Amino acid sequence: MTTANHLHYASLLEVSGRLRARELSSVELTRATLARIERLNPSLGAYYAVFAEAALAEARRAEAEIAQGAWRGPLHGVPIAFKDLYSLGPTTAGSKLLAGHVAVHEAASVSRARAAGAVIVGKLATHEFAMAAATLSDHFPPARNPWDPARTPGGSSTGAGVAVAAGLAFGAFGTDTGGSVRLPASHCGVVGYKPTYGLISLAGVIPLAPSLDHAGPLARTVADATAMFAAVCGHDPDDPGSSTRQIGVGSKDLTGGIRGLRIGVPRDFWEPTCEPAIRASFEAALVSLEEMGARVTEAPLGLTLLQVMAVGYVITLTEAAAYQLPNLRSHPDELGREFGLAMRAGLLLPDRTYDAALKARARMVQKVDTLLGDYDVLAMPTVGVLADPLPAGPRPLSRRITVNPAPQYTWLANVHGGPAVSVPCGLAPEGLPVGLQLMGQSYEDATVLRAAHTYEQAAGWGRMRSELFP
Amino acid sequence: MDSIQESKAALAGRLEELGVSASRDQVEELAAAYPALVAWMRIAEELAEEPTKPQKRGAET
Repeated sequence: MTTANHLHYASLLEVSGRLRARELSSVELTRATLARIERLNPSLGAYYAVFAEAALAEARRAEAEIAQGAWRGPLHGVPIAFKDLYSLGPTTAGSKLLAGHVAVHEAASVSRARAAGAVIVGKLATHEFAMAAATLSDHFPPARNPWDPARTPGGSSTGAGVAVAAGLAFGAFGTDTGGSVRLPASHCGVVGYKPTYGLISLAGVIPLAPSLDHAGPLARTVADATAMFAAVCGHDPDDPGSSTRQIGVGSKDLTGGIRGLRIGVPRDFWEPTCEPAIRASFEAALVSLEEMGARVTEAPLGLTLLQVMAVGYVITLTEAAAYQLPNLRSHPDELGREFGLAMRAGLLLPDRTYDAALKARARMVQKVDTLLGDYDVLAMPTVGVLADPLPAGPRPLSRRITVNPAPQYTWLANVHGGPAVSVPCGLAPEGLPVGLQLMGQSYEDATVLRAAHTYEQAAGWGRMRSELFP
Repeated sequence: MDSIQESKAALAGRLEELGVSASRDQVEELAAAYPALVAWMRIAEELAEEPTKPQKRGAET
């Protein structure tokens, strides 16, 4: 039987295969994961809560079931974790307001992962209510980037990015309203997948902005992310945003290559705001995609980053402020400064502006759909800057609400609703990871995942890891 | 009261109407960010008013 001590950077599917073949013990793998968390979490801050005893009990059960030939699927017996926005045990959303809160009911996707046999090792750090940037003076210590612990791992699924990148879980589920799965994936050098809107249930997940919120996996490989998605996707009548149209995506959809795939590059959308080091890695990725047989061409979108982010933020702030209004009235001092100010700004937005933003969003969807009539996939960097240093204290509101926003190209897929994947595509001279984002038409998740998988296999940037945490 | 003070008072008043308090320095920050918030509002409203003409596949947008 393989020792579990040196497998912390193995892919989820690798350890799953060994568990199924009974070459590896789920109990030993879980023990090794818990030991690594105990050793590294004090310096990385990925986990808010660790469920050591429950995880070992789940591992023992999984091991016994697998021994009896009752294998449940790729997650069976594998240690994974959830962002602290999913209702599961102590659930805080990264806010002092909810410190001490314990969920009564489990989020639907947690239950689905559990039914698939996953070993759930803990709850992961998040920006407050999936929005305000984590700082060194927060109620909860901020998660730190394994590539440079003085920097942010990207958010808001901070702990998920760190846990996967530092070998503290074999996969993690985050949430993504404007890029919160793909941004930490990009900054931490792992894969982040935001499925088509409504394909993973959000029942039991604390909302930020329900019309833009998505659940999605962070993983070491595209195949791992696909397996995690497949384990939890499916219509859920308890989630008003859940799609009745469901897709079956599995490992079989990742093969076949990308010869002839039409990839459009909307430079007018991202290029003016992108740092040179990130552009260089992205251009190299385009060359690789062409060498693999894809047809890569310019594809003007006719939208600026500011337009997309302005509309995305107007919707987000309005919906989030409506949800948080009772908390703003009754417990204003228990919300963090940056988050509380952002919510107050949301309250200042008139109803007519929200209505306008929804109409503007429909126009944007139409523009993207038109473009995706001619292209199978759109390619762009995930984010146009490298990971920032962790701020000492709350950032001024004018850092977020600005006409020069941080270049997060992820917002386009949230506003549109279609699938998007961030996959590592290089290291900047500063030694920090860079992400390639591929997005596609709604429900064409398989196409986007296949393109990302093919790129990952050929380009050689997959499975990158920081030398600081061997 | 100058116009800046007036606008800060107006922002605080709008929050108060909703039953939400804001300290003086919070109002200062809201006022500093407010021009950008108004710019976002205008962007959303302008895009909403764009004519909805059927687009041909492949047409540049």
